[in-house]
Amino acid sequence: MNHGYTRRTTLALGGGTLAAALLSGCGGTATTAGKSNGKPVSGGSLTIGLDAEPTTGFDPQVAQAYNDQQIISQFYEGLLSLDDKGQVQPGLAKSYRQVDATTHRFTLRDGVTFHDGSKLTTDDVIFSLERLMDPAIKSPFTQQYKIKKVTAVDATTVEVKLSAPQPSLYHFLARPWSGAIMSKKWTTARTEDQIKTAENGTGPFKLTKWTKGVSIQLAAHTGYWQKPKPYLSSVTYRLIPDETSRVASLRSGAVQLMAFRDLRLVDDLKKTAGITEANGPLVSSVWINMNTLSGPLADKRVRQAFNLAVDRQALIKTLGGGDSATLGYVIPPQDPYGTTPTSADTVYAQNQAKARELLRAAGQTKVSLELVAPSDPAYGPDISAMELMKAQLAQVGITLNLKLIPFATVVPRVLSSDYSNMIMMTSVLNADPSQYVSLWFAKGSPATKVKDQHLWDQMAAAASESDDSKRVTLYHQLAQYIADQCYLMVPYAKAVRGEAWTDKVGGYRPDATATRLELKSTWLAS
Amino acid sequence: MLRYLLIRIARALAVVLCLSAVVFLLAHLIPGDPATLIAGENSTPELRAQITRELGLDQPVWSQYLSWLGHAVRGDLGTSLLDGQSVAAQVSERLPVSLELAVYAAVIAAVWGIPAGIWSAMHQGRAVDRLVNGTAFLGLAFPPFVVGTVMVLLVSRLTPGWPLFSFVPFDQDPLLNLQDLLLPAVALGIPFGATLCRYMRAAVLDVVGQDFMRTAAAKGAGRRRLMLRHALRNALVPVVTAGGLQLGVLVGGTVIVEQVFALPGLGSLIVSSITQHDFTVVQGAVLALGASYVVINLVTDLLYPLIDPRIRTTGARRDG
Repeated sequence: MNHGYTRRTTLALGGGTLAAALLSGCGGTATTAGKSNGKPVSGGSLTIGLDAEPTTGFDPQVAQAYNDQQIISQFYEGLLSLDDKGQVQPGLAKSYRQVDATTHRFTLRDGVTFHDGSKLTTDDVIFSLERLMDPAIKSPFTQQYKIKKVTAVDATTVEVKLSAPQPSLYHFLARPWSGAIMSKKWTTARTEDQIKTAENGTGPFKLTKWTKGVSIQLAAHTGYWQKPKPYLSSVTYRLIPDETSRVASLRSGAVQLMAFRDLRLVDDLKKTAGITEANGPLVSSVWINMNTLSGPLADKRVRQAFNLAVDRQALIKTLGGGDSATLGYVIPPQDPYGTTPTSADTVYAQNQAKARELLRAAGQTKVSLELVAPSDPAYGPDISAMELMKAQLAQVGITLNLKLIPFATVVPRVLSSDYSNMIMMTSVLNADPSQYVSLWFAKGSPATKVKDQHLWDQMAAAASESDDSKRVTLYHQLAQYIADQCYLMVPYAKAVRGEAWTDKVGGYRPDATATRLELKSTWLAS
Repeated sequence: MLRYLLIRIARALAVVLCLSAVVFLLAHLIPGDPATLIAGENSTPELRAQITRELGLDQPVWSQYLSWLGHAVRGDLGTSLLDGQSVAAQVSERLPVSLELAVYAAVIAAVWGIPAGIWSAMHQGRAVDRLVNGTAFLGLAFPPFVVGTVMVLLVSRLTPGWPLFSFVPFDQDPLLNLQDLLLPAVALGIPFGATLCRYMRAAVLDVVGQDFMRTAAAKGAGRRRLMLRHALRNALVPVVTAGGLQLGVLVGGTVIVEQVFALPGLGSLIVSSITQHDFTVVQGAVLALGASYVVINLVTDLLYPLIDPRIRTTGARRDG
């Protein structure tokens, strides 16, 4: 099966969460609705507080940093799209159908133009999908696709042939980065570096000026196919890396919309008049992977005792404001394939007497374990929670040694299995549920710290199931099995980031990708 | 005199050379692998190896350093690992903002720090002296980023109309530019001014107690002439030394203040490139920052002969 390691965590300091994408099914949109309701007004210039500049720039097909994707989502579009609830909708293709297990056909919409005014043709679609599969482009999405051949059936229809069935195809095509349709003429006339600093998509906004270190300015694409959108005539992303400064800029009205990472700000923002705050979707599960191949955690009873010793509700309290859920399973709760967290609470409700009993039965009453975790400031609240967990574990005789290292070195350690007992990472939304489990448990992967044929059989069955409702059930069962075996501890799930905007902003709805797919529907009250 | 000049310049060059080596090695100590960053974790090992080769990261460090240095002396600092833009171009775009901020802060510091120091010295032991001293201590105790953050919070609540996070280049609109940089310059100028104030006070007191001052007073020089013509001229040498060193520190201090006020200077470039593991940009930007520190110190050294005629003749520095 596909190993599909997805970059799922946040980069240090001002870095970005990566590879967030939403699947069909129930989307994880934030719940708070904008206060500015009523009729959309055209015109208006919106200023957004930006925490970090694009990492690799605007080439959509190589962009995997969140910093890049949140801007690219305004420039480019795919054959399919995601609505604010995260469901797959038609995009540049007005209709699409599956011909057989490995053949899909897409009919292009009329009247779609690129920002340079040229018309979208099947040539552009074929070029874009072939470019995605071209190893020379070094796209992180290449190996997620199973595209074999793309051909034009007629002037408006494109046929995509796959080498094998790919249940995740539509989800990848629906994201503005991994499914981006680029102009063949424009792209081939430019060097790789030029494509990274300019753009020519079909999306609602086009780039007018990128002043490095200061701002990125966008203007409405007047030829946008989804009339009368976009309502805003211009959007400015103002770079304000410091979070306190960014919140201050929202309060002063200098920016009207911004995202924040420290969820402890939620309570403060809630009290501020004229500001709407929205908690992001619960897609950041804290994963503590256990080495079941050697050491004390090879014994299932020790792993169970570890889970039972911890009071998850108490851990959540250290995280501050915002919603969090106690036990998520391996797949985050607001992923359409995720398990609702409430039932889990009863599975591993704190029971220290039972934990001690299990340790006695295992003959390990004095256990010492090392937990490798990221030291970066973005993980501050999680590290506080881990410190509390350490105190709770001590009560049953488990000594937890926290080893904090920079996030940039955590990922290589996960991939090379370089840790003795446990390692911690957090998730963001993936395009396909197989990616969450593959990271930790793929058969034959150097990252895998379990040996369980039954698990691998279940993973293979779930990954290749093409019926979506059956697939959901299979992933629930898989997640339950992993929780029962205590291969991976997931103490809680939380939002990756929150968003806040002023009362002047109307029609804005955060989406689970957190890249502001709905900026085209947003307006500014005069 | 010429000898004094040449020695200073040679020393400065040696420092920059050492600095370049340290900067290069430091950038290589940043954890994380650039190839993984560029290609992504779900890339194949072959692709990562290919990128490593293309970037020359498979060569020994010393050979990478020599090749980098060779280009650097010709003004070529390489290109960004991430977006392929010229590092020299980015640095030359950002450095003026940081330098302007540092100079602006120095002017603010001098405007309040030096008169306050003189005033304080002239009223030694009195209430005014204690007030100025106390203020200077407070100014020293609050680092610029704390002052900056507090100013951001206060200004955003009290005067929402103030252009807190705007930036207009000087050549586009000088007045607006000076307004945009005012708060960050004040944040930096408070502690810097406090340092100048304390040096000035001590230097004036030191000079006032010397024989030649008594002689001058005995010859009938007025208090004003005594202070401006005799005391200040002599008190200035240690203050210029301290000021020069502090100005270098100030350029470094802009790193954090730029982050707080979201200014497009060298500091914010360094911070963002570190988080993005863009080694070549980190190297180029830190080298530029370090080199400007060395240049400022060199200029300070060269100022001595102008202030102190004794150095012009003997080539010796009176005060370190």
